[in-house]
Amino acid sequence: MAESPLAETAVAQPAIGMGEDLVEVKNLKVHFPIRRGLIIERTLGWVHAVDGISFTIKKGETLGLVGESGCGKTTTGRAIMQLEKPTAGEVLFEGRDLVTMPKEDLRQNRRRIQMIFQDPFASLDPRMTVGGIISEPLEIHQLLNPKEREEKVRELLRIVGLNPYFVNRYPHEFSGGQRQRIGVARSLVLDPEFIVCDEPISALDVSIQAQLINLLEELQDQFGLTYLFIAHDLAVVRHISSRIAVMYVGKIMELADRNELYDLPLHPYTKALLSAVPIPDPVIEKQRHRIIMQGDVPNPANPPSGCRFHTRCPFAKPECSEDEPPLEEVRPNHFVACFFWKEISERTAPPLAVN
Amino acid sequence: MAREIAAPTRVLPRYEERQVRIISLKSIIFARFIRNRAAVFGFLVVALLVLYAFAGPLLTPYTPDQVNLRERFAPPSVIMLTTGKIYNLDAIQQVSAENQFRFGHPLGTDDLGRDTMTRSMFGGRVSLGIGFIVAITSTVMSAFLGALSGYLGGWWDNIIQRANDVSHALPDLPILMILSKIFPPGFWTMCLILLMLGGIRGGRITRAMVLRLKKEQFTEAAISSGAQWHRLIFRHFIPNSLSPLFVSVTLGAGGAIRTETSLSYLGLGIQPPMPSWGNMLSNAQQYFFSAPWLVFYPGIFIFLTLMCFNMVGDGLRDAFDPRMTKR
Repeated sequence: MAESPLAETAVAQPAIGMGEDLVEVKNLKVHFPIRRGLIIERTLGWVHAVDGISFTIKKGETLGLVGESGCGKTTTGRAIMQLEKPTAGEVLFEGRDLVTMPKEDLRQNRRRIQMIFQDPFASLDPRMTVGGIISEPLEIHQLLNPKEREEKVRELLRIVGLNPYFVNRYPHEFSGGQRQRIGVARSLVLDPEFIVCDEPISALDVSIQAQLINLLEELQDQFGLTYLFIAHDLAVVRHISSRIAVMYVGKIMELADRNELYDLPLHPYTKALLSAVPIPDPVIEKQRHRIIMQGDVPNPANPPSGCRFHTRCPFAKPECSEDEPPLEEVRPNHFVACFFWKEISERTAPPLAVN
Repeated sequence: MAREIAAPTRVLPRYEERQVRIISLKSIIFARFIRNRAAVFGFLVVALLVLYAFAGPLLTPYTPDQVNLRERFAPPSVIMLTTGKIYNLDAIQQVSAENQFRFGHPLGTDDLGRDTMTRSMFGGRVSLGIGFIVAITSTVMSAFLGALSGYLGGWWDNIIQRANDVSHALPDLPILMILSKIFPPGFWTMCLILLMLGGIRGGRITRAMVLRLKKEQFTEAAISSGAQWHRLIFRHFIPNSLSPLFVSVTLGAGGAIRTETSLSYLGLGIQPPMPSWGNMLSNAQQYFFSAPWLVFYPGIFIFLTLMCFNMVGDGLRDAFDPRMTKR
């Protein structure tokens, strides 16, 4: 029953982001040890933060990565950046594995992969001026001479919508939104091809979020950037992404083109997530059917057997706790990890525990 | 029906296109320090004290161990009237019949008739020297150990921190007494003893700072731009731990002078013919009421030094901390 008749037909070319694969993540796992003991440390167990995920990101596209808090989104981003050592798996950048790459090669390749961090208050060194912060990557890679660096810094400040007059100011003199713009400028200074945006807007207030999203989109057009956009705000992700992956407890549950995912979610978890997005219309909001999930997110130190979602899934059957559903392409460019996606979407599977 | 709504155009904030150079951090820090009056005052006083201690001896006619039993407990006076023959015995100070005045003892003399000012100059060399040398070397040493401990973690951290614990657990005075019995007393021995204690003991500040900074997002940002360990340490970790280090140097200087004083008082520090502010003070205590200047002057020198060191330290800390800037 896991075999889907639609699966065979869907090996065609991707519809969106016709470019070649820029980043390919294969069976990525990041497990953190749980340690106890002061002098002699014992490993009591492992937190399965990211537990075998695979996806590709094509040149020029934006892959959105969504999921609840603690599902491993940020860890995925950090593992791609090699800030976290993956337990297993490969991160291919233009076909070369960043995980096993020699240190110096990796350092050179970091020029082409940059990251925008979540917290604009923590991601800028408080002891460095804005000019120093933005030009630091240039110094590291010994690019340009000091005069050209200054020019580049000013140009970038202009590009991200800040006054070049601010070069000698310190980060604490700026608001959150301005700081995040400084972070964006820093990530652009090396002319990277790929940027991991780790919840770049979640620390900002809503009016600033929109500005930053627009800025990121403009920059993508201007410089042909590729983004991995990690967020938990579904509306924002829909706005900026070309494809979206939904994560749950270290696994990808569903991966599809953005409109497909929002219009035709197949995985019960995606459905539940989408139904949680409020609609700004009280009439519809009252009438619409919301899927309310039971219980809490499982502890990633002890993930559920079989399908990770079976403990909270309203459609779960006994099989779900035994075997793990593979991530299968059930429609063109639409991957789902659920045994019963078909029955559920045709509403033949009875919900068991709907409140 | 269809209202024409102008497409929202993104307006960049207006700014004056001034050409601004990226000013170096050093010049900013210097400008901030200069603006802090107390710190500048403290710095000037310390500079004067250093000048007093190191250049002053060139100007006095006495040597620090020059005994003159005829002028015991002379009260402070700049000019001394040579009335009669009593003072003419002094070979160094030639007083002719025409010149009835001669250089007196501006800060008085002690129980052996030694000039307090000259002694305080030489004592200042010892005290300031020990203060500076010990504070700087022990801060550098402990900062290095602490940074190493925090950066490497694991076993290294364990070993360094346990050594630190042990040195904290042992009482100061017996250790200092044993050490000063083992090594022959003197200026450099004193420095070494204080360094051994301070160098192991500090470091917790730096270790904690490095442990915190290692996990900061801006460190990760630097790593993800390809920064190597030396850049992390010298461009991020050290500048971010400078302010506690400066406070530690200035307080450490005071502490070193104090420890030297107490050891000299016990007869274990700088040995008698050689003056230090500490042993001058301890010598003076029995003449507290009969010759108060013997207590007052070394005391005021120690007080000024410690206070001004702290003022300079505060000023430097504020100058290094961009959050303290008043624009």
